[in-house]
Amino acid sequence: MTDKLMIKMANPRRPRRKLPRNDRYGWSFISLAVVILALFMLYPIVSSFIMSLYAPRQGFQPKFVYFSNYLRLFKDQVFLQALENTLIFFIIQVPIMLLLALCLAALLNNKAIKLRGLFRVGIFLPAVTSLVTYSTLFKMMFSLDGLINKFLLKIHLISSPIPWLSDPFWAKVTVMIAMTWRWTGYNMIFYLSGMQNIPDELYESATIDGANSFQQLSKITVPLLKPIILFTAITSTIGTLQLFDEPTNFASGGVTAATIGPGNSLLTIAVYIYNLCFKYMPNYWYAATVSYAIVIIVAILSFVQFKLAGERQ
Amino acid sequence: MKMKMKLIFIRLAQYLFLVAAFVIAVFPFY
Repeated sequence: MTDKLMIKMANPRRPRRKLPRNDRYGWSFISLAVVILALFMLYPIVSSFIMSLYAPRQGFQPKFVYFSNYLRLFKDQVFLQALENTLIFFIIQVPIMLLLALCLAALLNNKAIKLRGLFRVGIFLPAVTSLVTYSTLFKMMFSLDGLINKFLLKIHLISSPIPWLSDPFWAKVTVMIAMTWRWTGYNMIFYLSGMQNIPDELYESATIDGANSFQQLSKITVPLLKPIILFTAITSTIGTLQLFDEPTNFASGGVTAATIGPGNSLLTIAVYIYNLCFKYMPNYWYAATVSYAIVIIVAILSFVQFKLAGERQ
Repeated sequence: MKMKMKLIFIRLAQYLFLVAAFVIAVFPFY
């Protein structure tokens, strides 16, 4: 009997359960991705939440203040204005854009329409432009002596130029028009791919039963597209709540301007977070709190959308 | 005949909507 075996017999231990061979390979393949995810996603998420519970002190280490930063949000007039602006963008722009995308997708799914490929490419084209480029372009087009005002004056729709970018109301309208232009084609592609997966037999039997096109759209297409509509609604909600590029580029003076848009009308929550970190006296701790406010709002809105759509999974 | 006219009008409206969307989408590139 060898020494090794004698030692083993003297110290009986439960054998270590080995992972099945396939599991070991699986874990080794995804280990790098897991480490990177943990380092660059999980750690910042946890770290920023911990940061949101601290407040800076002059000359000292930040102090743990429990949820005071969160209570401060309710009294912060600038945050409330940013929240109001963001919600206005969300409530008005998102439904218009999704409805428009759905109508365009329904039309482009109609086999009787000629040149569908051309229309599809043309309408999707805005989605490939960079956010800064299209914001700058729209800022030029919507300026007081820009193309849009010239056109509207020429067809005598208005008697004096509309102050698209210098009036709080029109500034919001301009950003909404620009966002709708940029994102409608993108959402349309999702709807179109969903519609192409709906079997033709359903429409055929509906036609035989005497259903008209509108009834087919509302009773077949929309119910079957519900998961995709939910997906686009949630991604659009998140996108709108993180709105940053358009307001900063539309505001004269960009991020360095005193106000974002006339009378801070384009100040969104994401812009406010930027301002808290880099424009005002840096307060990363409060900025982390505002970031978590967005997380909470997105969670609530997504939950409401799930409930409205009646999705269980 | 009336039904056919209605269908033609609907198709015309569909094309008009698509062309308008196409022009608005492509115009800024010009």
